[in-house]
Amino acid sequence: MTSSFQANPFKVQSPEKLPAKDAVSLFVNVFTDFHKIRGPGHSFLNGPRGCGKSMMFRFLCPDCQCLSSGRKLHELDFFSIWVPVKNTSLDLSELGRLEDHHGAAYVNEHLMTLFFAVEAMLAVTKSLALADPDKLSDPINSIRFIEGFNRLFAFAGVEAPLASQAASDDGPHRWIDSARQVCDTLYGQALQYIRHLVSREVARYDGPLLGYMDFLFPLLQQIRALTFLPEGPIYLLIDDADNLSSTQTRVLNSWVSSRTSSEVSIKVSTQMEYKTFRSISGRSIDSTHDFSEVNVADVYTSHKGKYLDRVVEIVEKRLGAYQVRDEAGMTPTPYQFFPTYEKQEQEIEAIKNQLRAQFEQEGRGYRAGDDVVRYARPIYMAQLAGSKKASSKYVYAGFEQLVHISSGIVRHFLEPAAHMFSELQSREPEASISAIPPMIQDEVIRAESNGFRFSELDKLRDDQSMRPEELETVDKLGNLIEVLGGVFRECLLNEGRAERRVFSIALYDRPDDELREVLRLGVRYGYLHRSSIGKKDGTGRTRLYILSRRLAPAFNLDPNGFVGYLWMSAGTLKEAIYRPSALLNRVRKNAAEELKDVQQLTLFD
Amino acid sequence: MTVEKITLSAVSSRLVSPIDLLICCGSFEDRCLSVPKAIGSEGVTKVIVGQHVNLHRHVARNTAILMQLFGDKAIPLALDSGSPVKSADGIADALADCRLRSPSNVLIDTTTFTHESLLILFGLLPGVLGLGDQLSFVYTVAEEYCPGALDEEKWLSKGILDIRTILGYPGSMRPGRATHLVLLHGFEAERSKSLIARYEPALLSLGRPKEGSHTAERHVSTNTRVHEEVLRFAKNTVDVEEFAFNACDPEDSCRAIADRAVFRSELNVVVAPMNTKISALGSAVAAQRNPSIQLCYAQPVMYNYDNYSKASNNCYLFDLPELFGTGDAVRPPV
Repeated sequence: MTSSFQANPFKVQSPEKLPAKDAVSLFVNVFTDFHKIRGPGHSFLNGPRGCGKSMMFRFLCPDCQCLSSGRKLHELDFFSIWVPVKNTSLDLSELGRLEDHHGAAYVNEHLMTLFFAVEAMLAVTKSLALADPDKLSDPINSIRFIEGFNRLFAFAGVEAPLASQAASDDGPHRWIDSARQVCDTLYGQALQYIRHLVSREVARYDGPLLGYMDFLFPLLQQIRALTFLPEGPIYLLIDDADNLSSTQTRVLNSWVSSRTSSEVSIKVSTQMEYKTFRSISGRSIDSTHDFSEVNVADVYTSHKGKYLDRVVEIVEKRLGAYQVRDEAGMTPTPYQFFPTYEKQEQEIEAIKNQLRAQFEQEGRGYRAGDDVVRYARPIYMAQLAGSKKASSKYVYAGFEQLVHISSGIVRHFLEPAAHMFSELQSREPEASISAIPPMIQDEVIRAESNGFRFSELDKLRDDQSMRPEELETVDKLGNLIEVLGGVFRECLLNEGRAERRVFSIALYDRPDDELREVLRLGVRYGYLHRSSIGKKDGTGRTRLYILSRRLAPAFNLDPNGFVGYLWMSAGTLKEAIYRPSALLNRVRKNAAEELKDVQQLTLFD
Repeated sequence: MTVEKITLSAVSSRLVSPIDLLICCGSFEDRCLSVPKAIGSEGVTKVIVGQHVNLHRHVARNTAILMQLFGDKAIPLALDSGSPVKSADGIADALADCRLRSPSNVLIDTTTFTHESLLILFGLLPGVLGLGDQLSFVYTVAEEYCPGALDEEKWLSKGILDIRTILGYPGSMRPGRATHLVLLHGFEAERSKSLIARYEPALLSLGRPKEGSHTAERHVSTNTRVHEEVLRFAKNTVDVEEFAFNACDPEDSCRAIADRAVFRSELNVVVAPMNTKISALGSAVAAQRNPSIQLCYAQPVMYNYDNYSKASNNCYLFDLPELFGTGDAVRPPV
């Protein structure tokens, strides 16, 4: 079958836009990896953009839950209200005017309360189509809800906004929407007040002030009592909470610190830039005591097989959903769709056979298999770099290699895959695509890697080009990344090293503020992943910084497997920042001597 | 409204003299000196000299030159590209210090303000100026950005430190609504792509300068390349529609943005004015006329301090008489 309109199976779509049917068909059950998210209780779900947090939240929504479980709405275990916090929805610059005023917390909480209240009413409205008609028409729902809703506003000094008799005679769509409109109107009035904060004179606020404990939580209890909704807890899914201001974050933390999780569980997703864990009272909320915490990146970079298994499932689902077929009419496996470069793999296999044959005399590991895993590919890459002087000819292709390069973040697999598909389509518009040729995989992934390398960072700022005080943090980070890439490359090429595939550094000593800022920026931009490791002297743990494997093609590194690390001092990293060229030249000149020690890099002592 | 492209040397002769107040901004770009030097101290009564104090290391030299050029006539204005509230307060203080006579004629050199600080200033002017006052704007054209670099290697800024609303233009972001991002990109593809990735809009309206409306012919190829790159990126993830606007005409830009804003009324509208300062003013007017429009700003991590631009001898001179004055600040063309 040929088609010039073959849809791209890897196109990344925002989960918000996905209909339930698509979301369910594409979703891979990751809750076995993150079971705390699905269960009741407050939770924080942390991970870089693109690791699947929003997709998890989407799947927890009532429409997806009903579809995937085959259960009716009221039979579900929980009722989710998904609230994506966009960049500039709640965090308005005008609110900065209130920061030194005692009313800042109240006004921000009022705004947030109404924002979430409107979202809650919208979620209920959307779920009405899933509700059991008998339960939906039960008059007790309107009577109880309207009375409770009006009572909440009475506490706030607002006269009964919902007319009891008229509203209760209408179907649930009407009185729920009426309730939404009340909240939305108040929200609009709050925005009007905020608009006037542009001027230095902080206008007096005369309107109602609503908060979590006196309004939102009781409102959610009212919602929970509706007979057509589940009896289980309400999940308030707050997506991208990094987009809240500092005060708003503290307000949210105050909500999390409340003992309401058995009725309302607050699930917060962040992209590792959550501003604070302090509440309005100044108290810090604690993981395990107040909430459970899951770091997606930690799970997928430390549990080797899990991430690979997840991506296999994701790709299988997508290839199936988009009806990708090979010539035999079968859906190709992910390994078939992203084949390796056969010639390269054959040459590596020959090296593997040689290592097995030589193991008895020259083996370094416990088993021949250890040497094969550790050395075959690095030996091949070193051969390319040596006599043939053709480093760029290592071909980054093959499903597993692409998974490793994506560094535990699904989007970093899907986006390049989508580009590969588009690229192939543009070259062969009439063909039906059932596999991506290795050279196209290599071409696209190298372009992506180089784009990532230079998108935020300048090229190496050489030692003589700038005075130290002139270097901006971004320049420093650029130098550090270039040095790490260069050093890891030298490790790969060095025959004397027991472990040639190095992707991480562990610090002997504490970084100073300057270095910490550079490393933090590196983590924030995704160039580095932060973890921890036991100290060499056994006295506690120290920071481990792992270079993103997305940079492997840019620096001609082997991205496969989870490999070794180098101990380095903070002083050496400072040298990397300010004198990168000198350091790299020294490493390259003395590689054979300096890199021969398996455990330590003597240069960095 | 009149928009004229003239030589810098003609600025003074085109304006009613003396200029009661010149507002300019010291910068790492030498373009910040072009209009002030062309006008000279004799041509003005008072001058507000802005400076982004958090970039002091990079802007101090040229700011000092401006302060020296205007001597006692200069009123310093402390801006902070990391704090819009501080910038707004600084602007309010500087404007209060001017004690302008009424009516007065005011010239704003928009060239080296950040987009954000310029639009904050613009939003505060109605509190100081009225219909009797004459307000003109000038923008010095860059002969080249990142001079000497290959087109594909040109860069003006890197990274995004923060995305925030521009003070004075909060819009009306209603809960439960998706986002319509109206993006007037500049020369920085990465910054635009980051903005799109972070907002994940339901609809992206991607602005493209109309043919002939680039500030200089030399910028056309770069702008086209960036546009194609951003479009290619966006099409993979969001629904995209393109629209055209005149980058050198604030009224046309305003109309184009206003039309896009009402296109899908069920969406929250966020406008990111990252093209010329002229079109940015157009977006501000659109947001003032339709307060549901939010303006946003992406603060870069760093600028190309050492090689941002090379000034040309030309500038754009324009006013917005429907907002300020009767258009008499600019003398009729000879």
